[in-house]
Amino acid sequence: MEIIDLSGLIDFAEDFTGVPPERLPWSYNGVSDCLVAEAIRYAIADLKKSGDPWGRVNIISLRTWVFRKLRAIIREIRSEDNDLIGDILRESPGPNLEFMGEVLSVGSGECVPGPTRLIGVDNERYLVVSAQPTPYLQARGLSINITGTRRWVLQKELKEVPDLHLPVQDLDSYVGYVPSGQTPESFLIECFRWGQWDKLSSISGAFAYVGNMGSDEASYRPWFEGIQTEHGRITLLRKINEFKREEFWLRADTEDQKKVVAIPKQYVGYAKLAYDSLTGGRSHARFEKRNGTAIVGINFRSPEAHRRCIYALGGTFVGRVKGLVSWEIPSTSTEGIKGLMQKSWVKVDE
Amino acid sequence: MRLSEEFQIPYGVDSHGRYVYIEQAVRGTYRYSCPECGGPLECREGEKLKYFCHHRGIGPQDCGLRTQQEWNDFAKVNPIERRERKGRLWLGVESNPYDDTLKLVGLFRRSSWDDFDDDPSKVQMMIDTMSITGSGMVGKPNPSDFHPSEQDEFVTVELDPQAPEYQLTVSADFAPPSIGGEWKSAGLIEGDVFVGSDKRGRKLESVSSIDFGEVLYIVRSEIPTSIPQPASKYHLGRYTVIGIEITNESLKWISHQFPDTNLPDLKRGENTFSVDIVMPRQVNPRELLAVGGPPQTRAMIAILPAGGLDPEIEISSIPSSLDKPTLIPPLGVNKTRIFRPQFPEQGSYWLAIHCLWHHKAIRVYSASGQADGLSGNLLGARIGIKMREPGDTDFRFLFPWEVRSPVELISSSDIGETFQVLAPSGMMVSMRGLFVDNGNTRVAVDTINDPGKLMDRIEDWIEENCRQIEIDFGVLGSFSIRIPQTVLEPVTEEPEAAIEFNITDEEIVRGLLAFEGGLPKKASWKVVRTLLNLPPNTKHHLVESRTKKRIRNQLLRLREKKDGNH
Repeated sequence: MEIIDLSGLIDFAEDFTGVPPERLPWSYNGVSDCLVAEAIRYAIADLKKSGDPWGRVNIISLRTWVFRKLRAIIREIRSEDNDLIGDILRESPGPNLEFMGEVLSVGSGECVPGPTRLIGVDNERYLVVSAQPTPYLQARGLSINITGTRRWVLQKELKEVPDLHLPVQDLDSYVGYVPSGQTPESFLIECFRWGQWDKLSSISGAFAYVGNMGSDEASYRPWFEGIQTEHGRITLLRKINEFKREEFWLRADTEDQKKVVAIPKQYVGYAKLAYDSLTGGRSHARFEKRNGTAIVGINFRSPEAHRRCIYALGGTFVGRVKGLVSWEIPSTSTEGIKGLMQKSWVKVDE
Repeated sequence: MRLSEEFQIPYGVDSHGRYVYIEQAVRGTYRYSCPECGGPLECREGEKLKYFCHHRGIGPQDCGLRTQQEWNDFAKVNPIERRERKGRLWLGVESNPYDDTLKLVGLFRRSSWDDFDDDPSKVQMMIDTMSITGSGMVGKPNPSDFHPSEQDEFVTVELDPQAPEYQLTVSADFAPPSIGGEWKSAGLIEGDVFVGSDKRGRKLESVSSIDFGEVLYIVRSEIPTSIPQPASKYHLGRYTVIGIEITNESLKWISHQFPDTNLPDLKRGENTFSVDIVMPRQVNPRELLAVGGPPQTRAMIAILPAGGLDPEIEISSIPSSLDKPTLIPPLGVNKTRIFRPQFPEQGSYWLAIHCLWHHKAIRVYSASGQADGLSGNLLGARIGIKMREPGDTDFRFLFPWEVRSPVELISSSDIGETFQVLAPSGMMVSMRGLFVDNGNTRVAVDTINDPGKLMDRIEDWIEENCRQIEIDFGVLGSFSIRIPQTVLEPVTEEPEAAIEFNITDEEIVRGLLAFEGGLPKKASWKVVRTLLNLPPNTKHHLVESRTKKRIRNQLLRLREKKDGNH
């Protein structure tokens, strides 16, 4: 016997997760992602170091555990051409467990389980973020629905579970910083207030951002005069350090002084979008309806909060569609994601 | 029938007790022994044929393994049974969860209720009349440990790792063959290898599972200073043991460091086949030799022949006389075989899986109520802050996202008493502080991966006139600490200008060495203030920077000296 077809895989997933088929994903990739994510959760529960209050787990041991648990079931796990376990744990551009906060990296090749909480994503559903295996949650009365690596509970079903006492994290704090009600110019000025001041010499050799030109090569030039604002001429600068990591600054030139601030990591994506908006607005997001779902495609490097919001609202990364980096999203999430784009000064095409 | 004309022994036993197929054997003498008599085998390679044969005149001369039929009969018997019939004691190691020591044990296979004809009175008779004598033991096991309903797949008898050999005699009015009789084993020697999990290992032999995820325990006199992850060092008598998980990387390291360990090449399929426990779902897939579950439910065991092989698999019970074996025919290369044994109503039974003359054994036992091992704290890690109001005895815990409004600090001097950050070391936490210096504001940012250092940094920033600190836990949310002006205002009268303190370097060193709790890690403002006997809430800028620098330099010297001594 070998489980290779979707029907066999769904039967196995029902036993493995305890979730009935109607609440499981209905695609081969969806079910295999769900199984790998679930096996990672079982591995974390089994491998946590005794005596460590955080439940540290060595990632190599965790990967081997999952490999041997599922190599007989999911043939792709045995393939040397891809790394399905690493993708689901922390690597994939899709919603991997580390990005979604179920697993937290603590360095030294170890991770710890993140706290269990519910994220209220809309009026109907909570996203369940937890490193606990699904049967552990079901044993407390939760009716779990699974989409790939993510799990959900319906609000109306949650109301039927008394005394659950699970913490609820609001979507805004889960997603991270998103500008709200600011103009692009006021956002850049805000960066000067919240960024760490730096010496003028630190930007020596940095390239200036000229706006979204479709590629990094075209979007940065050795010199650019910046954009004129009420607070002076502002330039966004980038340097790539010796560890190949990008560092960003904003420079403001007024008649009597020059200021340079390092931009905090979570603001960088928005600073570029604000700058884009002020230099002609070439960053855009396109929404297309497709068989009860929608595809959202973008032509810019998305801030982390955008991606986390898309995944929290049920989106799945589908790669490039018509030249745009795209996600398939539930049609019910379209308005929420449009709002997110508009708050970040992205042009929305429909 | 002449051995050299029509029958060759296809397998020899290597120094670890593992069967090595003639095609994989290395030519030479005394490297392999006969699986039946234990006498030395010669690996011969002629123009047409490569074969094992007994050395003439060395070892037993009346070996029963002389015909193809004798080999077939021999190969049907599981090595575990064969070992038991010959009274060979299997050695194992168990790790101590609280220190770095290992315990050497002798292993007795747990008998099943079938061995007692399902008769509890026979079990009681064994327990009541059991006597264990012999040499090399540390203490004596309790006879009730041998009860068939106990969960562990083996009964262990602690052994002295220094003993040159072990000889145990277990006698009782009734005892199954896996328990009763005379048992012998040679003493521990350098180069012995055990295989298992991070909790226990069994001496490597033909029935052992060597696969990714297993932990090898390699007994050595000396261990290299640098060992790869995930690995641990242990002490066992006069030996040091390295416990290392099998991965592609660790296999390379082992074969480089310990070429005599002679492990199979897993990528080349020298392991012949692997066995994984797929169900029960929460069970470690590599917990070979034992799988437990609720009665009447079934385990799911995956058998994976090595790449390129498509053998027939035979699954039989131990003892092999109990039931007819189950045969799984060839299904095709790279196809997995799934086998679903049922958990018994009580106790356990043993299964042997045979594939191409290699064997693995599994004990299937009843473990009611362990369907999912549902236990532990559903909430998981408590990462966030602990706070309490002055005068309160209990702390209140909040996750970062639960801290809705900025935390107002009451006092900067005893921050640890009222406020603590809880996070595992290694987790990255970003900080951003807003400072006010002579009417000007400035921002400082930092990323810290140690909760102790994070608390130190908060304390330092507060002392340096920080008015607001934002602490960002990433996907767990962020919160702010607000430091009211009153916290920073002086409570004592103080001069306006910075003061240079009249303190000598010797006094600084004496003061630092006398610090409560040992030498400080760094010259924080609190350390400077304590050393200079300044009251809490003294402003940072009131101490002349040269004095602070001298304290920092002296502390650096002391720390270098201390770390150098270590």
